[in-house]
Amino acid sequence: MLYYFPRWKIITPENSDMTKTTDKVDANEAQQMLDSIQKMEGAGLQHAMPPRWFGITIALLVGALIFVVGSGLSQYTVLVICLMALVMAYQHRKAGAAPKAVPANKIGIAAMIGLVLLFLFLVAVGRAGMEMFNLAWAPLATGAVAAIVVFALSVSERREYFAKINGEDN
Amino acid sequence: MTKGNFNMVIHAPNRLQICAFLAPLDDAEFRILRDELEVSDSVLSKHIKQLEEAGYVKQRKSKVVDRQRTWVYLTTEGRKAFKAHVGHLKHLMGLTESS
Repeated sequence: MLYYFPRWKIITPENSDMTKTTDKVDANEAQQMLDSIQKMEGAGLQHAMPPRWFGITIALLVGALIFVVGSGLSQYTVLVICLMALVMAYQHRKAGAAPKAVPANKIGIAAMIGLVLLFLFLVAVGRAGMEMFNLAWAPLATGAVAAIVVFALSVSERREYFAKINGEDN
Repeated sequence: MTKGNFNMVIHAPNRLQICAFLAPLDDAEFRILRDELEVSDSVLSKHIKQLEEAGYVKQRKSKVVDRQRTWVYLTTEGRKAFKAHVGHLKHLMGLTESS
């Protein structure tokens, strides 16, 4: 089927921009394509990059979670976890793009295990401080430590995103 | 369709951009892709359909407050094909030896 362009140009599916493909690519064209790829990857990362408010909110919620578990206020645990899920869902919907999940390699898994162990340790320290040494502020302090750790991770993640967007990984 | 590492399906400018945009992501919303590529809904749909037929992308729909949203993502095969195509382009540029 032919699509007639005003005056003289006949556009067919073969010569239209939409299906313009050729397997003969010179170095110049390849460079243009690589530039275009880098630009689009950067655009994708820009959309997926978590905003600053997201890092702060998640850090505060993780801190709150460590605090409520450490201080024995377990009835609020579900509430904090639900809030976390809501914030994540809102961010995903608002951004319209989700970054690739943590790579399932050894380093990624080790980092996740390390983080979970750190949080468990902080919960234990908070609980021990309160129950054994009568330090009412201990769970609050461990919650604050957890929040600072998560915030630092979110800042470092944003830096990584900026580095990738600026092509520093190439 | 595929000649060595050179992929005729991915090679078209808009499809190459779609794959490049999706490569660092788990998924992206249709409207974001459309705005980024500055094309109409129908043009983007056509390209996505071609990539879908090749098994390189998939779509999933979700309904949020009575609004249908379409999410697009690269399949494992799509990621491999895109990586191979980029490798081919880099090879053409003589970058493979340096990287």
